[in-house]
Amino acid sequence: MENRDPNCSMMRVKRYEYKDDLPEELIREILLRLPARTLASLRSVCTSWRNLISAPDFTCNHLRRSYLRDPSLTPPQIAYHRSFPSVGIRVLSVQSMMENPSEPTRIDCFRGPRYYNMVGSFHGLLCMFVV
Amino acid sequence: MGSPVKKIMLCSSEKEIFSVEEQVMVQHSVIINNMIEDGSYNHEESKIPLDCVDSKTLKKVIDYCTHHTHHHNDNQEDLEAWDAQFLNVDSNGLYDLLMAANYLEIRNLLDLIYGTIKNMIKGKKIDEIRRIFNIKDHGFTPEEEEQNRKEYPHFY
Repeated sequence: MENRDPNCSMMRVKRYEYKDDLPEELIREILLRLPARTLASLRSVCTSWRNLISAPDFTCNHLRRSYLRDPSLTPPQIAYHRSFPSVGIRVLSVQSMMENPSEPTRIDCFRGPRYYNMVGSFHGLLCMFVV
Repeated sequence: MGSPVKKIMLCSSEKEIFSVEEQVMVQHSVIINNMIEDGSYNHEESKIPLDCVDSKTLKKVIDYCTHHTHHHNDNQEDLEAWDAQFLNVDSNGLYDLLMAANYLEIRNLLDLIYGTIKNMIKGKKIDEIRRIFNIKDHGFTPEEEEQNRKEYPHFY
């Protein structure tokens, strides 16, 4: 019986250490399942969560998962400005590039008022205003 | 002669041996499936040592795999009710199951646990989340913590 006590306490200590170290890979899997709105505030839980959530590959992975779950979401697109042959914003679908990399990508032209200014971008979201 | 159900031996961290239908584990665990396929498991003398899975957790994992093998034709509602009952454990139990499912690569069990933890996080305040994940040192400077508090007041 005397032998059992140290064994038991060792196991408890070991389990406690485990609990401190939930592997980052598993935390990432859990976070990937949460909506973006929740993730924004979860960045303030601790620095390692903030770094995980802010990493570009996490954003990309999360976007992909959200899109697969709910195809009605606006798919990710790349926008660029071009002035020839006509002025306008061209939009490329990221999805078509990922799914059919060998196919020429269809380019949508967004026409509107002639001049835009780019205010800035944050995680791929563009903010523009019409001059 | 009808062939008997093939069994494999799993050994918990307490060195307790569990005999399980091979098919049950092969179907659910990527790791065990690979061991059987590449011939590294010898049915006559091998035991699969699972040094980081205790007996209580291993028994739960085996229950899960067995149920899902034999009841995969049940209707979705019954299976979900069974899963909910299965995961009705305390946070230590959930943690142990997560580590075991990850170690054995049991994908449907992992998805189930991730989903449960996800629901535990939703709508919780920051202190509760730090407690659930046992985060003692958040690593922010007082200035950063203040900034976070300003940015997400509802979260504090």
